[in-house]
Amino acid sequence: MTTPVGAPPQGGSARRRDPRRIHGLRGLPYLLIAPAAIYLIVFQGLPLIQEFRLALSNAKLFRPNEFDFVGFTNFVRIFQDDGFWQSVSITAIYVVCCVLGTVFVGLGVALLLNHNFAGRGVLRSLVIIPWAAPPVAIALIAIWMLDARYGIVNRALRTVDLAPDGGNWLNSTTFALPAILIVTIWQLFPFTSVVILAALQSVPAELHEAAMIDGANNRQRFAAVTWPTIRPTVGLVAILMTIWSIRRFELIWLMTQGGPVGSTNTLVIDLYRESFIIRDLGQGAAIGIVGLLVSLTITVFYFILSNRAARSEVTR
Amino acid sequence: MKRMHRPRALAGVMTAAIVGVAMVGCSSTPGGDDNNSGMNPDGATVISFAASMLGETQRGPLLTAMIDDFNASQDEVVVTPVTVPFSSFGSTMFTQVGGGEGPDIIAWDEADFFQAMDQGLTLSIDGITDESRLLASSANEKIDGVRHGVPLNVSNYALIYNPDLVTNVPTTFDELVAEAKAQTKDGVFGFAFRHTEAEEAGVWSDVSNYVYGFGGTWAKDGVPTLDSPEVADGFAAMKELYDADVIPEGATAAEYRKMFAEGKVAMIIDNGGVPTVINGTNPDTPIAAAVAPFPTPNIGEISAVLAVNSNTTKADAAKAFLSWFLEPEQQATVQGLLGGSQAATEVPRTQEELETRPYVTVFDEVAPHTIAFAPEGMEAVTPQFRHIVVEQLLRVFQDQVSIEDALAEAQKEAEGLQ
Repeated sequence: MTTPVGAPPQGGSARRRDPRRIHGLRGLPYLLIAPAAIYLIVFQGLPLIQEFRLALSNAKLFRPNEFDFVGFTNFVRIFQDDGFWQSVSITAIYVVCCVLGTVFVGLGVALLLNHNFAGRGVLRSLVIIPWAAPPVAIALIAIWMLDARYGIVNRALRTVDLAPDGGNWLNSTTFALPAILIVTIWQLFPFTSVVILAALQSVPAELHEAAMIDGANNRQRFAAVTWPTIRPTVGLVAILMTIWSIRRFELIWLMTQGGPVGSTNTLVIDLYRESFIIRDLGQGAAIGIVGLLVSLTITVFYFILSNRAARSEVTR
Repeated sequence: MKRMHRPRALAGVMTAAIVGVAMVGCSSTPGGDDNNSGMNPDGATVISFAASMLGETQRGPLLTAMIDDFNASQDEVVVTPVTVPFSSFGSTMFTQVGGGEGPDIIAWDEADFFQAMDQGLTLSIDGITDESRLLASSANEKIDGVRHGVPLNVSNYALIYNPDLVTNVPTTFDELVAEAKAQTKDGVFGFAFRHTEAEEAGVWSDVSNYVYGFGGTWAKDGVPTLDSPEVADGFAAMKELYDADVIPEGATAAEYRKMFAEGKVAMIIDNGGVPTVINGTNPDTPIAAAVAPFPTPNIGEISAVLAVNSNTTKADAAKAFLSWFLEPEQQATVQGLLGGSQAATEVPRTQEELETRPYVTVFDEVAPHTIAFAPEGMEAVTPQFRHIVVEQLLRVFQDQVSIEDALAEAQKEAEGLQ
C-alpha cells in the first residue's frame, strides 16, 4: 500500500503538533522576524507616519518640530499649482519612457546574450558596468559628453550636421528631458537585461525543439514559447523600474536640477526643492505623499493584473 | 547544571541585542561631544566654525591659518573648522540647526542669514565690538536694534575684464554689447553670466545687478516691485546679451571663470572675490576692473555673515572668537586674503596690495551704491522670491514668454509671499 501524497505520516509520529511551537519555544518565529520587523517599523513605518504628520502641518526646515496642523491645506495648494501638474506630467513621461526603454533594450540585449557566440562571457560582464557605476559619476560623465563646446556628442553630431541649435542639450527645454532619458536608460538597461537573461535560461530547450519540429519560425517561437515563460519576470522588472523611476533623484538633480524652466522637474525634484531650497517641509511632505500614493496605486494595479493573469493560466 | 535550551539561549541573545541597539540609539549626545562637556583634555572649550570659504582652494587655507593663529594665541577656546560646499551650505546648515545641532559659529550666505535671524536661529552678539567700526552695510544684520551677525566678507560687483583683450573699456551698456560682440571670435567669448536653473542663486545675483543698474529694485518696504519699468529694462538688457551669441551657453560660473583665466572670456560682471579665484587658476591672467556700465551706479553686493548658532551651549567662547576676529590686526589679515572684497570693518588698502592688485579700488569705489540681493522688507522669503524671479527670467531667455508677461506673473506670485 502506498501512502497518499499529503496524508499525515502513520504511527506514533502522527501526533498533531502546534506548528507555532518549535522545540518548546512558542514565540520563536515571532522572535526571528523581530529584527526585520523592528527595522521596518523604525526606518520605514515611523518616518512614513512622520511624513503624514508633516504633510498636514506648516513645518519648516529650520524648526521641524514646531508646527501647527493645517489639515489638507498643503494638498489643496499643490493641486491648485500649475507647476505641480507640470511635474506630474513630466514624471509620467519620464517613467513611461524609462520603463519602455529599459525593458525593450534590456530584452533585446538579453536575447542577444542568450545566444552562443565567442566572447559571450566577457560581453555579459561588460554589459553590467553602467548599472554598477555610481549615478553621480554617470551624471558627471554625461554632462561632459553633452557639453555644448567640448562634448563628444556635439562633435560627432556636428560632423553630420545634426547637432541641435547651440548644441546645448541640458539647457534646452526641448532636448533636456530626452537627454536625461537616454542617460537613464543607458544606466538601467543592464539590470533588466541580466534579470531577463536569467529568465530566458529557464525556458525549456525541448519546447523550442518541439516548436521547431512543428515548423515555427523565430518570431512564432518567441511568441509561443519564450514570451509566456519570461512574461512574469518582465512584469516584475517593469514594476520595479516604474517605482525606481518615480523616485529617481540624483541623476536628474545633478544634470539639470529640474530645469530649464521646469522641463525636467519630476515629483521627487519638486519634493527636494520645496523641502530643502524653499524649506517648506509641509509642502514637500505633501508632494512625497502624492508620489507614494502613485507608486502604491501602480503596484496594486500590477498585482491585481498579474493575479488575474495567473488565475486565467490555471483555468486554461 | 541544567543546560539552557538552545532556542531560549538564542532568544536571550537576540533580546539583549535589540535592547542594546535601542540603548545605543538613545545615548547619543546633542552636539556630538564625546565627553558631553564641550572641552578638550586640556580644559579648553571646543567650538566649531562652518564656512564654505574654508573649502576654497585659495582663501580656504588662509582662513584656516587664521583659526590656527587664534587657537595658538590663547588656551581657553579651540576653534575647529567645518567645511561644507557653497552649493549645499544653506540646506545643510538649516537641516542641522533645525535638528537642534549645528556648528557653533556659522558663516551664512546673506539671504540664508536673514532667514535664520528671522526664525530665531541666531543669538545676539551685541557688544562684541565697537559698532562704529563696522561697515555701514552691516546695519542690516540686526533685528530690533540687536546685532545678530557681522560680515565675514562683503563683496561688491563691478566689470572685470582682461586688459590684454579689452582695450575699449565700455562705459555704457550699448558699448558693453558692442565690445562683447567684437571680442567674440577665435574661441573667445566676449562676455559671460550664469543662465541655468542649476545655478539659481548665481543667476539671481547676476540678474540683480542688471535690475539695480537700470534703477530697479526687487521690493520696497515689503512690497514687490517686479512690474516696474526699471526691472523690465534690467531683464531686457540681460536678454539682449543672452541673444547676442556672446556668452558660452551652458557654462557654469566655475567653467567661465576658468575660461577667463585661460583668456577665453573677455569680460564678466562679478564680485570682488572673483579675481582671487581667477588668479588661483592662473596667476598670470591679467585682470582689470571698471564700474559696471549701467545707466545708474547702483550695483549688487553679496556677503557672508558670521552668526552664533542659537543651539550652542558655548556662546561665550563663540563670541570671544568673533571679538578676536574683528580686531584691527585680524581684519587686516582677512582683507588681505579676500582680494577685491572687504572685511567687516574699514581697512585701508596697503601699498603692496594697490601695486599688485590695483583693481581693488574699483570694488571699494562702488561701495556707496551697493544694494543687498535680498528684496527689501521681504528678506526672510528670499529663496522663494529668488525662485520666482529666476524661473521667469529663464522663460524669457527661452522665448516662452514676453518680459512684460513674465514680470506680471512674477509680481503676482511674489505678492503671494507677503
